[in-house]
Amino acid sequence: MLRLLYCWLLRFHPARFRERFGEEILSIFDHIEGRAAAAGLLADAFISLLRQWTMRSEYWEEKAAVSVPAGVGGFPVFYTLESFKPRKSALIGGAVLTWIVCSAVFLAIRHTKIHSVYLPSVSFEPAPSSNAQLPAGAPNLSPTQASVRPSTQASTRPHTQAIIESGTNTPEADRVRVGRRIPPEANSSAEVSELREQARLTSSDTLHRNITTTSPVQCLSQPFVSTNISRENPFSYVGEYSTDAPGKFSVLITAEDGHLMIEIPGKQKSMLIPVNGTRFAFCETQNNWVEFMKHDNGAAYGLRIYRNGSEFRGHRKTN
Amino acid sequence: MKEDLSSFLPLSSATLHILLSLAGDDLHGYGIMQEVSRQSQGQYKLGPGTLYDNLQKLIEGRFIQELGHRAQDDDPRRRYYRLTSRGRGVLAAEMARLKGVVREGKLRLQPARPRRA
Repeated sequence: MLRLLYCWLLRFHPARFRERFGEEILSIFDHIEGRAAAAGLLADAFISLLRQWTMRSEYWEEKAAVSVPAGVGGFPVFYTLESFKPRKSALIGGAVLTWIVCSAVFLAIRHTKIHSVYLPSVSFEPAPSSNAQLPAGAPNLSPTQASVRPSTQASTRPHTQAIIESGTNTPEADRVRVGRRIPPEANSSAEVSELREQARLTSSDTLHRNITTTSPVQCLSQPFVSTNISRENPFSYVGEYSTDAPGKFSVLITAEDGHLMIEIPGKQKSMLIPVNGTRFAFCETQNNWVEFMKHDNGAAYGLRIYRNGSEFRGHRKTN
Repeated sequence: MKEDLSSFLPLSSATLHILLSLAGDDLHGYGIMQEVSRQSQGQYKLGPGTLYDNLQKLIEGRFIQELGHRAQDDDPRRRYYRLTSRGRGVLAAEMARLKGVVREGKLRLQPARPRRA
């Protein structure tokens, strides 16, 4: 078996080298005793193969055949203007180098941390009528109420469709409906919590990229009905938050007319549009968002702000 | 006119050992491998690939010549090689160069003589 393999390695050597020294090399292999010595000769033959093809081309250049076929009237039918042929060693070396470079590039692309990914966008458009049928007993959160529906033609995934409806006074209906529509039969608080958690987990951090920018005028002129953030504690997110952003500025979260507002120093006060339980998008530029961090008891202790490509955190100031 | 062989110096270890092994007698490839191992006391071993690669270069450079098969040899595949005068000259030049290296090494490695007060 080893001898067969050795013969194959010799066979792949350049023709001139093989014809000149092949028999002698094989005779040496036949005189070697022991499998370890034979294995050593196999390794030596493999190295020799690489050496002959990559570094000894000056000995094994093939001479280009010069033959001009005669055509009609003695003129050649086919005539090579140039007899140059690249060396085999150059071709092999080029192929190896190309493979190495391409592999390095592909590995670099694969393992790079920054990926530009195209995601389908979701646009929000106001409801056609402000006097949409509201269930009896619906809380009067704002003078005008509108339901928000996503642009169906834009959304391609169910979890990107955000349906925000005003809830009724009943505990079952008083919940945030976001991402997937919570089925009416999910009446128990445990089921609601589980579905809410699933909706939060399925919404990825790139959700903000799915939200297209809405014109500021449209945003401000038709105030959205904010979700019932927390009927038990509607002002759970209100407060002042000190951030770790450059400048260490403080962010102020307030509630006005049932909407959460965010004030950043040097910037105009902006309304926050609820996306899911703890995440809110900026009204003017919905590619920016705020996500609140809460304790188990529901009290907010911090927030994360993604704004204009930068992300920073804030801790709620305690008085 | 004596040819200037210094341009071929220094010789590689494999080339030096091959020329050295052929300096005593004509040998075939396997014999060269065994002689090199004996001269270096087992510290330097040539594989067939390395051996014949160097033999190829030495033949092209006319430092050795190929004699072919000998009738009394039991293996007809074996071919013998002989050191040419050119090869003998380059081997001598390499030996002179190495002598100079050894001499310089001995001078540098001598223990420092104590200075008299």
